[in-house]
Amino acid sequence: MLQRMSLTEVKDILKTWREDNSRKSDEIIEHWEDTIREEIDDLGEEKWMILEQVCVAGFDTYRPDVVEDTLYLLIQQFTPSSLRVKRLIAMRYEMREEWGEALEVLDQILEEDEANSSARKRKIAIYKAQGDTSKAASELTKYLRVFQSDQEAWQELCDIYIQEQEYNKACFCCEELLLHNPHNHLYHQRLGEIRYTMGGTDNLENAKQYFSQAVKMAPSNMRALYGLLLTCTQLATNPKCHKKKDYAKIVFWASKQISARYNHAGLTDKQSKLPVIEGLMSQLDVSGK
Amino acid sequence: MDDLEISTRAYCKIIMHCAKYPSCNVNGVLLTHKSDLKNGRPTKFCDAVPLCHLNTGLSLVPEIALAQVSGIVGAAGTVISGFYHAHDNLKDNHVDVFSQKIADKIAENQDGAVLVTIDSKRLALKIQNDGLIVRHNVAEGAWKLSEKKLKLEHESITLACASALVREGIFRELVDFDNHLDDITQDYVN
Repeated sequence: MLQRMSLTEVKDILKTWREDNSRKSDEIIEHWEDTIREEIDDLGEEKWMILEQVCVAGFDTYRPDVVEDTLYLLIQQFTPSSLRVKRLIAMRYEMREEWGEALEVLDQILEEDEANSSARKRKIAIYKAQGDTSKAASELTKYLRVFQSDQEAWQELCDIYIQEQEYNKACFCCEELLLHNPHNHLYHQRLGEIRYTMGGTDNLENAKQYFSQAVKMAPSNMRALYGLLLTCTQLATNPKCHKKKDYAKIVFWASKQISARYNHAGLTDKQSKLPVIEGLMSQLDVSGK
Repeated sequence: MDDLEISTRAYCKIIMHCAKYPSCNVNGVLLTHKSDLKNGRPTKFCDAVPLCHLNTGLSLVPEIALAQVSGIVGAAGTVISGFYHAHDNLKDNHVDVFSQKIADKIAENQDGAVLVTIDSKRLALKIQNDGLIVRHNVAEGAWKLSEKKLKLEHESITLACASALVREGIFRELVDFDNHLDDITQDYVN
């Protein structure tokens, strides 16, 4: 149970979550029940945004009671002709899995405002919820032709392609994200992971470059360090490999970095960490230096 | 035909993992004490180690995780004897290629390994039945529904325990391998 907090503290937390686009729906409902519901009128200028946030949290956690309370107030204030309110009405149908009705309302929004990206995204979410991932992917692709800089959409498409094992297309999406955010080590690391999963010498070489870049930007990125370790081990143990010594050097360096991190975190007594690295090192020895 | 048993600890961890990340695919491994192996096949699952909830279609993190967990379990007298997974979509119960490949790998090293799919539709605030679909490996890449029944260690008490953990919000404290990679001071063995 969350500790009881003051209204100001709750407002600040909700604001942070709105700005970060965090999905903490069950915690939002708890705050609603513990604090906000009694003090709605003291919310000030953020009142309507908070009500919308709580409403969406209600959809996510299937709380029709919370949805009715919040949506009622929003409809009273903004009338059902408001597009933002209409989107919430569509989401209420989604919550009840009344897909036809939800799609109708979303189509109404799009008739009034063709460029309404949130309505288009809700439609894609419905296809995904129905399990129709190929339709979701094709709609998302159409959407991205128009809204090319919508990073949330590129991420979603990347995730869909990864699940469908269309790794080449997933790489393309991730590369788009990198174009928009060349200094984000997480995207470099993600691309490295996709290339690693694809396998094959060229992809592994590529993966190594992305992981190296990620480590350069964020030396504490464990996934990138492990990525370097595994990628270079695989490259080095390939019988056709010509650059064994270079890969071996990287493997040793990466393993030292990982061990150092664990030592630094005070986990030296966990002998379990070392066997992993020893196992990989011995693979290198066996293949012959 | 002997039944299989899953301990309260393992079952609760699985449910907590699902509760913590309801909008993601989650997966993890099941452990068995060496003493619970009969003819080299597991009869009881004593613990579960939650692994991933992010990018479950990529192979890097499961590979690292399996290697790490193998290292730990050897020393503790347990073996990796199964793999569990759950989908983000409520209605989805199928075994995706990825989970199947990981389960194949586990089955290579351990006879009688199981692949458990969580049936999300059967989970509720007050869990009535265990909601687990168990499959056994019949051939490379082929997993068939198990003829053996999977019992809960303490039957309805196990279910009540799992329900309570979700209700009280304790599932938020569960650490999986992805959490560990983000902050290595967090212990994924829980």
